[in-house]
Amino acid sequence: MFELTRRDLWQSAGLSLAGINASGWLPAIANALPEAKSKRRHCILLWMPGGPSQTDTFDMKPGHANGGEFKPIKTNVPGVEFSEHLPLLAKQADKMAIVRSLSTAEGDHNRGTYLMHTGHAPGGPISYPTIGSSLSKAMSLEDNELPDFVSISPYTVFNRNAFGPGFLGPRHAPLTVGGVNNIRQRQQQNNSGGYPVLGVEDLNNTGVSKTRTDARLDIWQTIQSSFLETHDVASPRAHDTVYQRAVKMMQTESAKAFDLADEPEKVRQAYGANRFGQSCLMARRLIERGVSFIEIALRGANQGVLGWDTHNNNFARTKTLSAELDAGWSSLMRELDQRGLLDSTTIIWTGEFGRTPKINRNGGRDHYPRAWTSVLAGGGINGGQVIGKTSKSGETVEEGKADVGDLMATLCAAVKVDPQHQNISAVGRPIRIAEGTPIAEALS
Amino acid sequence: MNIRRLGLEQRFQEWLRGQFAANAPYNETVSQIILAKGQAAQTGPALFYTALKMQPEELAASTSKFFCGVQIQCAQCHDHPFDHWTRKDFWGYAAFFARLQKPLGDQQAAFQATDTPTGEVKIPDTDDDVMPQFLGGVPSKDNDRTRRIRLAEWLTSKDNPYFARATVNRVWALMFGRGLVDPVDDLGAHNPSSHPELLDELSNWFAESGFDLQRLVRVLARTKAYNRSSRIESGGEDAPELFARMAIKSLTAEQLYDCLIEAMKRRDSTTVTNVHNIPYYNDVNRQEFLEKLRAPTQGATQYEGGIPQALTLMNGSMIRQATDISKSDLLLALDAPFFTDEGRLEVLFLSTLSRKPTPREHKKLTKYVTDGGVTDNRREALADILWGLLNSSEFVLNH
Repeated sequence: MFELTRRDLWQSAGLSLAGINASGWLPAIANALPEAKSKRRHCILLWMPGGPSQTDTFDMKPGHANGGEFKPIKTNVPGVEFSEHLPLLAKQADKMAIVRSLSTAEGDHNRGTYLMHTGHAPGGPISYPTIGSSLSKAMSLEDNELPDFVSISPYTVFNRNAFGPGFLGPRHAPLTVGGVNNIRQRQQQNNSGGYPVLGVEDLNNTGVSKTRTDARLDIWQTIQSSFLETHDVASPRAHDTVYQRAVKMMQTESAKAFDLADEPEKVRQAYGANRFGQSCLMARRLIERGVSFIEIALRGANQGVLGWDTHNNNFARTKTLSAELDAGWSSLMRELDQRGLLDSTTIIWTGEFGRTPKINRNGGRDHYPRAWTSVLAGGGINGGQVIGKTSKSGETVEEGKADVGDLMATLCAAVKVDPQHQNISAVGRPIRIAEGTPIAEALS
Repeated sequence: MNIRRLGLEQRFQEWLRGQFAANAPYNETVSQIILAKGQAAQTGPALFYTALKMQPEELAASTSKFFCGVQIQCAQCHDHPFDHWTRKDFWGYAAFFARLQKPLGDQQAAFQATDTPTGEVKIPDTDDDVMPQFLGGVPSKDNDRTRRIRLAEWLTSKDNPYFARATVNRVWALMFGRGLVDPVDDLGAHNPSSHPELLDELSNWFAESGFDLQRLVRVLARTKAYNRSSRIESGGEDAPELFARMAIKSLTAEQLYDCLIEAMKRRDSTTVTNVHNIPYYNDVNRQEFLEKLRAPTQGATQYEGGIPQALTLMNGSMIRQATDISKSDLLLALDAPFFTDEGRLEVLFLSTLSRKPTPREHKKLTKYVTDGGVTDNRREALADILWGLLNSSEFVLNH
């Protein structure tokens, strides 16, 4: 069983055995694999900026005026229905727990984004870490080539602080792939072969050849060793270690995880020829290589209009977004499952809030944090069920009301991290990863 | 409202820089911050109020932490578990900021630091107004002078038991990587100083000097303690609070940026004015660089960077420019015919590490320059060495 997994891993990495033996880092990973296999867990946050409509996705209200245009369809779990525009996910409902009873206190993009990323309302003296930073810190096994936390195409405009490592410090910041927030990168959004470009920031110095880079690193090593000989203490050592890891990443095969051109055209198409779909595909490749936490955003094709923030024209827009969501997410779960990795990978789908059950005069739905839906799936999750219940109109939670702290605590429990685990903030106060109580029935 | 996004953070820094450059007595600088009036956009110190949204509790937490070195904000919600601060202490102190005009909206213009005749704070879930009281429990009766004026007088007085100590301790920590009390904002009986007599003496002297920061820095810089080496010849690490060896400190993102600019020998950061008539740095490089490398703590003896930061320093736009043979004035200057290759190498080392190459470095790298590196091009070879220097622990850490 172990042999098979290891072979699968090398094959999917596109490595030959000769290539493995040539580089010094691989034996270490190979030795660590049996143990790592049992312990290593992963988490994927599918972030839906703008706030998706629960009524048009996972908490349908057929027969009620609030229900809207979409029809429900059956899933592979009797009694659980999704929107007709999520047919592929409907076939994997047995892997998903639909939390229909979320009720939070922030109905503004900026504040809600912070709340749902950190578990805390913004303001106040403490700069809280984004959930990817605190979970990847707790989940990391420290033997990985790649960073523990990768964020693919994040949409950070609403509140940059919601995406940062906060008091945990820059070491726990995500490695950003295909970011589009800074000006330079916005100019590099041209498609390659019909697919969006998803590159790692500063992975290589484009103007410098491989030979020259090697020569530079050799020079660097010479200067380093002079200093480290006489300054063998914590901070230079930490600096040196981080550099060695970054250099490894630049030079070794593991950086290939970011090169989607390796994937067969059929696979790329299945995930969807859009930013979200390709991000999901990259997430699968990163998980195969041991990355702990991956965040992906689904903003829709039109960068100018913010995807899920459907104050007008809700149905046409949600339909388009649902198609992207359905293809990317369902392919991700299917392929992880085929590789035996879904059991160790927990997926959370959420936005900053839900949308009003009532349809407004522009055919849209507005912000609604009072009663809305997040979805948990995969490892550690007791799939194939609905948790909590909203009223017929969808406007209030009738059963199993859960706050953001409960959702975060559930996520922690699913990835086997103690939600009570405390980090020390910059002001010296111990802070738990998640305040709240895990939703017991959601956990497997 | 986000003052960093509006470029107002730099505006506040500019104001502070002016105060420090003019060596304004530190108690006057702090007094100006506490007493700031008017619209944030037009005045430096009022930005302090804007950043803290005019909220008494945030102003109380920040001013007590920055200027008195104490953590009373934990007592905002509950009596402090380790220290003696109570909720009444916290809210009594916050009451000094209760009589400020509330912002009229979230727009910048709505934030005006203006005193109002009324306004009180209450301990949450209680009904009683809390009257202003200084740290330590002495009440301050309302009279014809505003609460802010009374706070500023108390805070910056020579007799304040916290102010001089907190300031001396902070400056010490900036220079030594660790305070005489550590952490610097947690002074109190529960967290004694490593050198209590020294801290007392320095604090008294600093207050008597008229809160002269430049003299304080000069005095500390001349101490034997500050002049100790960070080299380790034998043995392991010893207890940092003994200051037996100079601590190795991480540069802040701002310091690192300035060092890289300095290493390029290029002047930078043209100040421009935005539509609100607020001067701000329009340097995309700087903003991007700081966003990626900023750490939550300053002067720390821990290195806090991770792989993304290392990649940025090795391959990002800053290092590309710094080692660009057509843009770096340092590299261009090294073309001068009077230099030998040895001289060129020495200049590179001196301008980045302030030292000459060791014999081993000398032997290996002079040859690299003479051979023209791996591209048969002397300039590129020098750029490669500069790259190695700028990425070294020796450059990135203050040692």
